[in-house]
Amino acid sequence: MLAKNIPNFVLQSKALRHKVRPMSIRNEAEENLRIIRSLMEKATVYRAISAPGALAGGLGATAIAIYGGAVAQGRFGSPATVPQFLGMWIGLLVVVTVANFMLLARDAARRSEPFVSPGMKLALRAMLPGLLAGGMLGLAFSFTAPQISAAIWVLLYGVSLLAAAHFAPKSICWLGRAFFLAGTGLFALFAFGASWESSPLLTAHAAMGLTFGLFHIVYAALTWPRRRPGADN
Amino acid sequence: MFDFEKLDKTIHEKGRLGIMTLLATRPTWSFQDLKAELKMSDGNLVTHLRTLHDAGHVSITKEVLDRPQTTYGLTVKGRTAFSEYLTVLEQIVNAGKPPQ
Repeated sequence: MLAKNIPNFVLQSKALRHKVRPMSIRNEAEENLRIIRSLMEKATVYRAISAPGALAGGLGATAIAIYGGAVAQGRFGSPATVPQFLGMWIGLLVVVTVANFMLLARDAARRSEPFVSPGMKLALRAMLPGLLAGGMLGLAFSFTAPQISAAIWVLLYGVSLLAAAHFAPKSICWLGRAFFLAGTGLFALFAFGASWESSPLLTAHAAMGLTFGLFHIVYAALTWPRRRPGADN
Repeated sequence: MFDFEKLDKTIHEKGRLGIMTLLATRPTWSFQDLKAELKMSDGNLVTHLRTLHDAGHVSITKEVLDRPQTTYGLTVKGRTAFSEYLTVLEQIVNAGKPPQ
Protein backbone atom coordinates (compact mmCIF):
# COMPACT_ATOMS: atom_id res chain seq x y z
CA MET A 1 0.00 0.00 0.00
CA LEU A 2 2.73 2.38 1.03
CA ALA A 3 4.90 1.39 -1.94
CA LYS A 4 1.96 2.02 -4.24
CA ASN A 5 1.53 5.54 -2.87
CA ILE A 6 5.15 6.57 -3.21
CA PRO A 7 5.10 7.19 -6.98
CA ASN A 8 1.97 9.28 -6.58
CA PHE A 9 3.61 11.26 -3.80
CA VAL A 10 6.66 11.94 -5.98
CA LEU A 11 4.43 12.94 -8.87
CA GLN A 12 2.51 15.38 -6.68
CA SER A 13 5.73 16.88 -5.28
CA LYS A 14 7.06 17.50 -8.76
CA ALA A 15 3.82 19.04 -9.88
CA LEU A 16 3.78 21.29 -6.84
CA ARG A 17 7.37 22.35 -7.39
CA HIS A 18 6.59 23.43 -10.97
CA LYS A 19 3.64 25.48 -9.72
CA VAL A 20 5.39 27.13 -6.78
CA ARG A 21 8.80 27.92 -8.25
CA PRO A 22 7.67 30.30 -11.02
CA MET A 23 5.50 32.13 -8.51
CA SER A 24 8.32 32.52 -5.96
CA ILE A 25 10.79 33.57 -8.67
CA ARG A 26 8.30 36.13 -9.90
CA ASN A 27 7.84 37.51 -6.38
CA GLU A 28 11.59 37.63 -5.98
CA ALA A 29 11.96 39.45 -9.30
CA GLU A 30 9.33 42.01 -8.25
CA GLU A 31 11.04 42.46 -4.88
CA ASN A 32 14.44 42.95 -6.55
CA LEU A 33 13.00 45.49 -8.98
CA ARG A 34 11.54 47.37 -5.98
CA ILE A 35 14.96 47.36 -4.28
CA ILE A 36 16.65 48.64 -7.44
CA ARG A 37 14.07 51.41 -7.93
CA SER A 38 14.23 52.59 -4.33
CA LEU A 39 18.06 52.54 -4.21
CA MET A 40 18.30 54.42 -7.50
CA GLU A 41 15.88 57.08 -6.27
CA LYS A 42 17.75 57.41 -2.99
CA ALA A 43 21.12 57.64 -4.69
CA THR A 44 20.20 59.95 -7.51
CA VAL A 45 17.63 62.32 -6.02
CA TYR A 46 18.58 64.84 -3.40
CA ARG A 47 16.28 67.59 -2.20
CA ALA A 48 18.58 70.42 -1.13
CA ILE A 49 15.72 72.68 -0.02
CA SER A 50 13.19 71.34 2.43
CA ALA A 51 9.61 72.57 2.09
CA PRO A 52 9.46 74.07 5.63
CA GLY A 53 12.85 75.74 5.02
CA ALA A 54 11.56 77.22 1.77
CA LEU A 55 8.39 78.46 3.49
CA ALA A 56 10.40 80.13 6.27
CA GLY A 57 12.73 81.69 3.70
CA GLY A 58 9.86 82.80 1.48
CA LEU A 59 7.91 84.42 4.30
CA GLY A 60 11.07 86.06 5.68
CA ALA A 61 12.01 87.41 2.25
CA THR A 62 8.51 88.76 1.69
CA ALA A 63 8.50 90.47 5.08
CA ILE A 64 11.94 92.01 4.49
CA ALA A 65 10.95 93.15 0.99
CA ILE A 66 7.82 94.87 2.33
CA TYR A 67 9.67 96.49 5.24
CA GLY A 68 12.71 97.41 3.11
CA GLY A 69 10.44 98.80 0.39
CA ALA A 70 8.61 100.94 2.94
CA VAL A 71 11.92 102.26 4.31
CA ALA A 72 13.14 102.97 0.75
CA GLN A 73 9.96 104.99 0.12
CA GLY A 74 10.70 107.05 3.24
CA ARG A 75 7.73 105.76 5.25
CA PHE A 76 9.80 105.56 8.46
CA GLY A 77 11.53 108.93 8.16
CA SER A 78 15.13 107.71 8.10
CA PRO A 79 16.67 107.24 4.62
CA ALA A 80 17.30 103.74 3.26
CA THR A 81 20.97 102.78 3.07
CA VAL A 82 22.90 100.04 1.30
CA PRO A 83 24.42 98.62 4.55
CA GLN A 84 20.87 98.33 5.89
CA PHE A 85 19.80 96.54 2.67
CA LEU A 86 22.76 94.17 2.87
CA GLY A 87 22.33 93.59 6.61
CA MET A 88 18.68 92.56 6.24
CA TRP A 89 19.21 90.18 3.30
CA ILE A 90 22.48 88.64 4.52
CA GLY A 91 20.92 88.20 7.97
CA LEU A 92 17.96 86.38 6.42
CA LEU A 93 20.32 84.25 4.31
CA VAL A 94 22.24 83.13 7.41
CA VAL A 95 19.10 82.37 9.45
CA VAL A 96 17.39 80.47 6.60
CA THR A 97 20.54 78.52 5.68
CA VAL A 98 21.00 77.37 9.29
CA ALA A 99 17.27 76.50 9.59
CA ASN A 100 17.33 74.60 6.27
CA PHE A 101 20.38 72.54 7.32
CA MET A 102 18.71 71.76 10.67
CA LEU A 103 15.58 70.57 8.87
CA LEU A 104 17.62 68.46 6.43
CA ALA A 105 19.51 66.97 9.41
CA ARG A 106 16.21 66.13 11.11
CA ASP A 107 14.89 64.47 7.94
CA ALA A 108 18.12 62.50 7.53
CA ALA A 109 17.96 61.33 11.17
CA ARG A 110 14.34 60.25 10.71
CA ARG A 111 15.37 58.11 7.74
CA SER A 112 18.41 56.80 9.72
CA GLU A 113 20.73 58.24 7.07
CA PRO A 114 23.91 60.29 7.55
CA PHE A 115 23.36 64.07 7.40
CA VAL A 116 26.32 64.56 5.04
CA SER A 117 25.11 61.97 2.55
CA PRO A 118 26.64 61.31 -0.87
CA GLY A 119 23.65 63.21 -2.30
CA MET A 120 24.37 66.27 -0.18
CA LYS A 121 28.04 66.20 -1.18
CA LEU A 122 27.05 66.08 -4.84
CA ALA A 123 24.54 68.90 -4.37
CA LEU A 124 27.08 71.10 -2.58
CA ARG A 125 29.74 70.41 -5.20
CA ALA A 126 27.33 71.36 -7.97
CA MET A 127 25.77 74.41 -6.33
CA LEU A 128 28.62 76.07 -4.43
CA PRO A 129 30.46 77.63 -7.42
CA GLY A 130 27.31 79.42 -8.60
CA LEU A 131 26.31 80.46 -5.09
CA LEU A 132 29.77 81.82 -4.23
CA ALA A 133 30.14 83.62 -7.57
CA GLY A 134 26.68 85.14 -7.19
CA GLY A 135 27.33 86.18 -3.60
CA MET A 136 30.63 87.90 -4.39
CA LEU A 137 29.44 89.57 -7.62
CA GLY A 138 26.33 90.84 -5.88
CA LEU A 139 28.36 92.27 -3.02
CA ALA A 140 30.75 93.95 -5.47
CA PHE A 141 27.87 95.81 -7.16
CA SER A 142 25.80 96.46 -4.06
CA PHE A 143 27.15 99.93 -3.18
CA THR A 144 26.95 101.28 -6.73
CA ALA A 145 23.85 99.52 -8.05
CA PRO A 146 21.90 97.40 -5.54
CA GLN A 147 19.27 96.56 -8.17
CA ILE A 148 22.02 94.89 -10.25
CA SER A 149 23.08 92.97 -7.11
CA ALA A 150 19.53 91.68 -6.70
CA ALA A 151 19.39 90.60 -10.36
CA ILE A 152 22.77 88.81 -10.03
CA TRP A 153 21.62 86.97 -6.89
CA VAL A 154 18.38 85.90 -8.56
CA LEU A 155 20.11 84.75 -11.76
CA LEU A 156 22.98 82.87 -10.14
CA TYR A 157 20.77 81.25 -7.51
CA GLY A 158 18.76 79.87 -10.43
CA VAL A 159 21.96 78.73 -12.17
CA SER A 160 23.08 76.98 -8.94
CA LEU A 161 19.79 75.12 -8.62
CA LEU A 162 19.95 74.08 -12.27
CA ALA A 163 23.50 72.81 -11.72
CA ALA A 164 21.98 70.21 -9.39
CA ALA A 165 19.26 69.29 -11.90
CA HIS A 166 20.69 65.83 -12.71
CA PHE A 167 20.04 64.52 -9.22
CA ALA A 168 17.41 66.92 -7.85
CA PRO A 169 13.67 66.35 -7.86
CA LYS A 170 11.70 68.06 -10.64
CA SER A 171 10.41 70.75 -8.27
CA ILE A 172 13.97 72.00 -7.63
CA CYS A 173 14.55 72.13 -11.39
CA TRP A 174 11.39 74.18 -11.84
CA LEU A 175 12.45 76.50 -9.02
CA GLY A 176 15.85 76.89 -10.74
CA ARG A 177 14.19 77.65 -14.07
CA ALA A 178 11.92 80.26 -12.45
CA PHE A 179 14.88 82.04 -10.83
CA PHE A 180 16.93 81.81 -14.03
CA LEU A 181 14.13 83.32 -16.14
CA ALA A 182 13.42 86.01 -13.56
CA GLY A 183 17.12 86.94 -13.33
CA THR A 184 17.46 87.01 -17.11
CA GLY A 185 14.28 89.07 -17.32
CA LEU A 186 15.62 91.62 -14.84
CA PHE A 187 18.84 92.00 -16.84
CA ALA A 188 16.79 92.31 -20.03
CA LEU A 189 14.83 95.15 -18.42
CA PHE A 190 18.06 96.89 -17.44
CA ALA A 191 19.56 96.26 -20.89
CA PHE A 192 16.51 97.69 -22.69
CA GLY A 193 16.85 100.89 -20.74
CA ALA A 194 14.31 100.59 -17.94
CA SER A 195 15.33 103.31 -15.52
CA TRP A 196 15.51 102.43 -11.85
CA GLU A 197 17.75 105.35 -10.94
CA SER A 198 15.05 107.07 -8.90
CA SER A 199 14.88 104.27 -6.33
CA PRO A 200 17.43 101.50 -6.83
CA LEU A 201 16.93 100.15 -3.30
CA LEU A 202 13.16 99.93 -3.77
CA THR A 203 13.75 98.05 -7.05
CA ALA A 204 16.23 95.72 -5.36
CA HIS A 205 13.85 94.93 -2.48
CA ALA A 206 10.96 94.37 -4.90
CA ALA A 207 13.03 92.01 -7.09
CA MET A 208 14.20 90.06 -4.04
CA GLY A 209 10.71 89.85 -2.53
CA LEU A 210 9.02 88.74 -5.75
CA THR A 211 11.59 86.01 -6.40
CA PHE A 212 13.14 84.78 -3.14
CA GLY A 213 9.86 85.47 -1.33
CA LEU A 214 7.12 84.46 -3.74
CA PHE A 215 8.93 81.64 -5.58
CA HIS A 216 9.91 79.91 -2.33
CA ILE A 217 6.38 80.15 -0.93
CA VAL A 218 4.98 78.58 -4.12
CA TYR A 219 7.70 75.87 -4.00
CA ALA A 220 6.87 75.11 -0.35
CA ALA A 221 3.14 74.90 -1.11
CA LEU A 222 3.73 72.48 -4.00
CA THR A 223 6.24 70.23 -2.22
CA TRP A 224 4.88 70.26 1.34
CA PRO A 225 4.84 66.65 2.58
CA ARG A 226 1.25 65.45 2.45
CA ARG A 227 -0.08 62.59 4.53
CA ARG A 228 -1.56 59.88 2.33
CA PRO A 229 -5.23 59.18 2.98
CA GLY A 230 -5.52 56.24 5.34
CA ALA A 231 -1.83 56.35 6.30
CA ASP A 232 -0.87 55.59 9.88
CA ASN A 233 0.17 58.36 12.25
CA MET B 1 8.55 28.34 -19.90
CA PHE B 2 11.09 30.92 -18.69
CA ASP B 3 14.72 29.89 -18.37
CA PHE B 4 15.73 30.89 -14.84
CA GLU B 5 19.33 30.04 -15.57
CA LYS B 6 19.51 33.33 -17.48
CA LEU B 7 19.61 35.19 -14.14
CA ASP B 8 23.15 36.26 -13.29
CA LYS B 9 23.64 34.61 -9.89
CA THR B 10 26.50 36.97 -8.95
CA ILE B 11 24.20 39.99 -9.21
CA HIS B 12 21.06 38.24 -7.94
CA GLU B 13 22.22 38.18 -4.29
CA LYS B 14 20.57 41.12 -2.43
CA GLY B 15 23.77 42.73 -1.08
CA ARG B 16 25.55 42.59 -4.42
CA LEU B 17 22.42 43.77 -6.22
CA GLY B 18 22.44 46.89 -4.00
CA ILE B 19 26.09 47.55 -4.81
CA MET B 20 25.56 47.11 -8.56
CA THR B 21 22.52 49.41 -8.45
CA LEU B 22 24.39 52.20 -6.70
CA LEU B 23 27.41 51.83 -8.97
CA ALA B 24 25.08 52.18 -11.96
CA THR B 25 23.93 55.63 -10.77
CA ARG B 26 27.31 57.42 -10.79
CA PRO B 27 30.73 56.91 -12.42
CA THR B 28 32.48 56.23 -9.09
CA TRP B 29 31.61 55.60 -5.45
CA SER B 30 33.90 55.69 -2.44
CA PHE B 31 33.88 52.79 0.02
CA GLN B 32 32.53 55.02 2.80
CA ASP B 33 29.66 56.33 0.65
CA LEU B 34 28.68 52.81 -0.40
CA LYS B 35 28.81 51.69 3.22
CA ALA B 36 26.67 54.62 4.38
CA GLU B 37 24.07 54.17 1.66
CA LEU B 38 23.76 50.38 1.98
CA LYS B 39 24.20 50.20 5.78
CA MET B 40 26.54 47.20 5.45
CA SER B 41 29.43 46.20 7.69
CA ASP B 42 32.97 46.73 6.36
CA GLY B 43 33.55 42.98 6.12
CA ASN B 44 30.34 42.28 4.25
CA LEU B 45 30.90 45.09 1.79
CA VAL B 46 34.51 44.10 1.13
CA THR B 47 33.48 40.50 0.48
CA HIS B 48 30.70 41.44 -1.94
CA LEU B 49 32.92 43.96 -3.74
CA ARG B 50 35.64 41.34 -4.10
CA THR B 51 33.15 38.84 -5.56
CA LEU B 52 31.91 41.42 -8.06
CA HIS B 53 35.49 42.44 -8.90
CA ASP B 54 36.48 38.79 -9.44
CA ALA B 55 33.49 38.39 -11.78
CA GLY B 56 34.77 41.40 -13.77
CA HIS B 57 31.74 43.57 -12.95
CA VAL B 58 33.46 46.16 -10.73
CA SER B 59 36.64 48.18 -11.18
CA ILE B 60 38.70 49.30 -8.20
CA THR B 61 40.79 52.49 -8.26
CA LYS B 62 43.19 53.34 -5.47
CA GLU B 63 44.31 56.98 -5.26
CA VAL B 64 46.27 59.04 -2.79
CA LEU B 65 44.91 62.57 -2.70
CA ASP B 66 44.91 64.09 0.82
CA ARG B 67 44.73 60.51 2.07
CA PRO B 68 44.47 57.09 0.44
CA GLN B 69 41.05 56.57 -1.11
CA THR B 70 39.57 53.61 -2.92
CA THR B 71 36.79 54.19 -5.40
CA TYR B 72 34.62 51.66 -7.16
CA GLY B 73 32.85 51.77 -10.50
CA LEU B 74 31.11 49.49 -12.96
CA THR B 75 33.18 48.00 -15.76
CA VAL B 76 31.70 47.82 -19.26
CA LYS B 77 31.07 44.13 -18.61
CA GLY B 78 29.39 44.97 -15.30
CA ARG B 79 27.15 47.62 -16.85
CA THR B 80 26.10 45.21 -19.60
CA ALA B 81 25.48 42.42 -17.07
CA PHE B 82 23.38 44.74 -14.89
CA SER B 83 21.36 45.90 -17.87
CA GLU B 84 20.77 42.28 -18.97
CA TYR B 85 19.85 41.31 -15.41
CA LEU B 86 17.21 44.07 -15.36
CA THR B 87 15.82 42.86 -18.69
CA VAL B 88 15.55 39.30 -17.34
CA LEU B 89 13.77 40.53 -14.17
CA GLU B 90 11.28 42.46 -16.30
CA GLN B 91 10.69 39.39 -18.49
CA ILE B 92 10.00 37.25 -15.38
CA VAL B 93 7.53 39.81 -14.02
CA ASN B 94 5.81 40.24 -17.38
CA ALA B 95 5.65 36.49 -17.96
CA GLY B 96 3.38 36.13 -14.93
CA LYS B 97 0.97 38.85 -16.01
CA PRO B 98 -2.27 37.93 -17.76
CA PRO B 99 -2.21 38.85 -21.48
CA GLN B 100 -3.67 42.30 -22.28
